[in-house]
Amino acid sequence: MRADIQIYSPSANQISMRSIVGSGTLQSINAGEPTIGANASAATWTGAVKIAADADPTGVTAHRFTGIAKSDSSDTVAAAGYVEVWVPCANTIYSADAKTASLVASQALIDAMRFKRVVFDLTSTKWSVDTAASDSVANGLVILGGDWTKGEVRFLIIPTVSIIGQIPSA
Amino acid sequence: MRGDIKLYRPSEDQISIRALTAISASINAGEPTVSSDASGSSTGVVKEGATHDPTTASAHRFTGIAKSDSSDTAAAAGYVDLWVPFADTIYSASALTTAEASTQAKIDALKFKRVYLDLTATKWTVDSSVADAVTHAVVIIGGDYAKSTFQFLITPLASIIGHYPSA
Repeated sequence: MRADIQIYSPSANQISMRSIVGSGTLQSINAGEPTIGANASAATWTGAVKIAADADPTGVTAHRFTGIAKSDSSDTVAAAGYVEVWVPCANTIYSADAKTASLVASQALIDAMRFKRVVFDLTSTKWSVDTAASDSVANGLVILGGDWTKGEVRFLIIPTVSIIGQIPSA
Repeated sequence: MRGDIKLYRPSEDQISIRALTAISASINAGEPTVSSDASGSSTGVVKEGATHDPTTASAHRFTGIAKSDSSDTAAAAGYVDLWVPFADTIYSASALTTAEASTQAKIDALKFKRVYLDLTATKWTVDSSVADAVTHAVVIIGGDYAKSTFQFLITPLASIIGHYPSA
């Protein structure tokens, strides 16, 4: 959903880039949604991105995280389009709602999940942070803090799951 | 010991975060910290690093240099403020063996070597004599021979920023 994921603190070097989005759906990506490479490793290269899936981003997928959409995509059912994505610089800090608000309903709850590695959740069209996911080296979101009054968490996305420095996990 | 490790040049994005500490953690500003949790668990608690940290071979991720003394006591848990270990933060600390950093030529010859931190008694230093290894997270990038100090990076592969465990 539009604006589900926001840049809480941009890198000083934050830039965006325009990427291809394939045809087949009308405006398949909204601003504030996560994107991944449409190409798997070693695939025929197209440079296209697509909307991520539930439980992305991780180091176990061949589709690297390509950033949060800055704009709505311009693709249609009949024609490919473009989307602006924020380059996932390692120092960028993001914010989004927790999937389960009661899990971040106090500062003590947020403190106790600091540095935990989790993933995004996609339920219906709503993107959130699945703070209940088990900590795993393959998970790409690292919780740094949050705002319990808003049910919101702040997090990094580690370069090892993104175009910045992906190392596929086992 | 307080002030052993300094931010020689902070990242442009440098921020600090407050993390939990256990009873009697006794972390001083300028000391390295690691997550108390191994992979698969999560309490949000950090502790002082151990000698030969940080490495990518540990399940305890590097969580940053302490910005403050921790507030824990013998009876109660507390907090410590940490400098988030961004990849472009440059640190400085004394050499374990001052003779190894006593000339510019010696420092030049150590440039890009991957080493680790040493803790002897309560003093944190850079152990520049350890053999270069892919698992060592301290990367020497310079120094000041007049002070026998090294300037170094800490690779994200050993930290919360981009941990990737080595075999």
